[in-house]
Amino acid sequence: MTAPGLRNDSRAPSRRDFFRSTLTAGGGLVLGLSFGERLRAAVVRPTADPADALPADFQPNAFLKIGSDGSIVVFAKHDEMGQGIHTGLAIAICEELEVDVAAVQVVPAPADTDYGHSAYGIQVTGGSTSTWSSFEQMRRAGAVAREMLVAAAAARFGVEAGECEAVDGTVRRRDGSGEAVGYGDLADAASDLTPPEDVDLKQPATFTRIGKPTPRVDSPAKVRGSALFSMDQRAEGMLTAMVARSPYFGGTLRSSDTAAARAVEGVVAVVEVPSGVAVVAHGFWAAKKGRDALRLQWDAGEGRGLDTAKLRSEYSALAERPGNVARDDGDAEGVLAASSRRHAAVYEVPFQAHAPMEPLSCMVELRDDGGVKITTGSQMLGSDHPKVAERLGVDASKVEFVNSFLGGGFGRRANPAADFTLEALEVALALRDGAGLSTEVRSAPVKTIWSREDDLRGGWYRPMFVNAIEVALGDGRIDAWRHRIVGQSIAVGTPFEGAMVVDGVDGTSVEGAADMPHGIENLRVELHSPKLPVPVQWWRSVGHSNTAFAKESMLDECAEKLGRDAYELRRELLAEHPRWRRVLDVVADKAGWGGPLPDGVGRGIAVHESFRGFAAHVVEASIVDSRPKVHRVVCAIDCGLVVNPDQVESQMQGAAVFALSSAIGSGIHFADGKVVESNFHDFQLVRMHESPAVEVHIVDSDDAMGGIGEVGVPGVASALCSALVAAGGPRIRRLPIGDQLG
Amino acid sequence: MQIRFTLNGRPTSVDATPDTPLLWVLRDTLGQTGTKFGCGRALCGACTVHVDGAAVRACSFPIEYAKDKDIRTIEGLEASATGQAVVDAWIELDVVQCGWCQPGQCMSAAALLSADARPDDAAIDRSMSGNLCRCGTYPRIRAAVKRAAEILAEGGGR
Ligand code: FES
Ligand code: FES
Repeated sequence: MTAPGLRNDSRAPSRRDFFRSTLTAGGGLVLGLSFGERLRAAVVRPTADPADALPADFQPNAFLKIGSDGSIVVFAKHDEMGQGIHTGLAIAICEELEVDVAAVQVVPAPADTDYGHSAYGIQVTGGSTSTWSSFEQMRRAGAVAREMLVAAAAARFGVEAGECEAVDGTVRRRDGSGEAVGYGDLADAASDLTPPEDVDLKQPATFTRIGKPTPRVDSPAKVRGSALFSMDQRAEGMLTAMVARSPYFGGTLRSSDTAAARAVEGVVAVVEVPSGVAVVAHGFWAAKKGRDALRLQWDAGEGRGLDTAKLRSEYSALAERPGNVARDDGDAEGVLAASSRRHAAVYEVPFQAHAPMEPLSCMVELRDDGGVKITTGSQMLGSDHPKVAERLGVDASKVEFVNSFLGGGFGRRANPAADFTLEALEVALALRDGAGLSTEVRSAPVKTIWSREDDLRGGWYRPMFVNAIEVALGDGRIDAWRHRIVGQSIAVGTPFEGAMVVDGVDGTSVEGAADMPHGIENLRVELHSPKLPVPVQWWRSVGHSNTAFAKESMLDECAEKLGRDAYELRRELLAEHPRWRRVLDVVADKAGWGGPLPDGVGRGIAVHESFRGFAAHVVEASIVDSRPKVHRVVCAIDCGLVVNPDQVESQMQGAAVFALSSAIGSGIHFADGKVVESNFHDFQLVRMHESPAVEVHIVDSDDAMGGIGEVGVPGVASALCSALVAAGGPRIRRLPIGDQLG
Repeated sequence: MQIRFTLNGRPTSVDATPDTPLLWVLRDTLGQTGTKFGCGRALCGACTVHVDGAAVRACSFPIEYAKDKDIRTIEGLEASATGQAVVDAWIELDVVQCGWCQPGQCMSAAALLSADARPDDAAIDRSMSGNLCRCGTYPRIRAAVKRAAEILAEGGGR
């Protein structure tokens, strides 16, 4: 498979591994790109194609195609789920290619190893890694194209390449003659050239696009409603399926009565699939009515009796016992045992659903050759693709994936089990094999749609955690710190277990705690990873969403006990860590830390590193009618070199609001084995009238590039809770705050 | 049951069971997918459309009530000066992130601006709090509503 729309390019680059990445962070597989060989192999060209007579398009690599008509298409290796990465990737390419971002079209890349993550290997978007991991690769992709276009133009002008330059989508002579030729006119000639062995990238001082606020490439279509998301995708004769799943995790179907469902107008089939019973119909409404009419009995299985109150006490009991050691500096136990000034607290966070605004969906079109076309919105085609091929028992080349805009992801659409993709495939297969169904129904494209209830009750949550932290306080300082974390591992049982779990410690459970750099001499971090039938996975900012809340809350409690200012204490503890300290200083300054506030309003502060980014927050809040009222959030962010400052601001604003939702009103709880929450009335997200002003200060930084999408989340909850203390409220140690102020 | 209404200025007729929500008639029957599904229970506003000028949650509006009504969706929003100003302001300020909620946000904003050409923060809170944004674009939505009001006051909306 190759980039969509690619035509007539058998003269792809001959040099393999040209873009072998130098990025090896994260311990992942480093995947070199060898698009040349496979592009050639993949392009099927009838011998007498009249198109051959037409000028060729120029596709110097898997990321870029310049049409002989002057059109420029960027194939985005990372999925656009709101974070602005389509724009960011385009900026990096356009900077070197010397064209305006507004002049290119960005389309999602298909599933193909060419689009493997530069650090992780497989094709995936997550971990706030897209910008830093693909930045140089995209620039090289643009620079190679530029050099080849310049070479093609030089040959046409009959001069040396050095006498030409690329400017704004054209190559012109430097001699002042004004002679210039557009990229489109050079595409055919450029496509005959061999890519250069190496290219010079532009010096940062000469950047004209990187670092400038750049409009998003997807804004107009999204605003006008013409952008195609997964759920918007349609195919001729398409049917809609809704699956009734077990209300218990690990439950199994005992009996079903489907007669009433089948009788619903518009329902064409009811089929069993591994995850439950699928009602297939003409359109959503009939499918939903049909599903509502199912009478199903479930055996609860492993999930029987799952109950949040019970889990809380079990986790708390575990937290009193030593766990697997994630960090052990000095002698925390000894110092704690000998101390006469100890302070202990337990911090808790619930399961969290990602609740992307667009519920999940996936369209499947089975093909006669045993293959399939899958149209969905996924963050991890690199895992979905082989899983689908494996299920069908066909070569991956028979599985075509079309990705769409993602109506939010937050980690949910990078599912290690490919849950919503494989389930849709199962529905299509069950339909194809369905007894007594017409050929038309059996061969129809079928799209699964999840309701909001399905989404919130469908699992794959951020795990629930209990943290027990105990400290020994000295004279104005923290002498010892022991942090025990209790929560399910998101890695155990997935293909990523080997890489993510070391000596019984899932790094993502302890990130943000085991790596705290606060210079506390006696520091011990331990982990318990209980097993539950509740499926869990990464949720925006992963382990940090828990550990930062616990760590920063305890630092504030230490400051209170020590009679120290929360900002000053952090400054002192982070004296050796300039990037932490810089964002902390900036946020304190911009927020007017220590300055006067209206009566009843308090401030809280936090600083945290995650995903190679550094963020500090000050939250101003009060308590109104026993509810938190957030007046203002100020944040400072250092993510190294910034590609699009407007989107850094946007991500930080959005992250603050996202984090406030989980701090104040949303969470997933269990009673009687089932999820309590069902929709936005009881899974409460921040709304317009509760949304504060969010000020974002981007710190000028020459340091290594880092992440953004998740970095703005971790610090917000503790800063809010400390602001509420300063406003005269109680110390909240369990999220969401909900009615605990009442 | 055959139901006639006006959709974005065009006479339209569909055959649907009377309880089918307008949302699914738009999306499934008419293929107009600009109107989004987020909750199905009038809790999120992603499906907001205008029925005779008023903002309505299409997921909870049975098609039988659409009979003879004037229905406007995001696909037809730019036909009015107010709608045009909203779309322009949204693009100018790059409000969108994932974008799924945004057609609904724009429909609510346009309904607000039709009733109140200079909405203050309290009016924005009242009219926009039924529209959730999981990506948290509220600060920019607020700014864009005000920007749209400005564009209209300048005689804009093209
Ligand atoms: S889908 Fe209609 S309000 Fe949420
Ligand atoms: S932009 Fe994603 S939900 Fe609003």
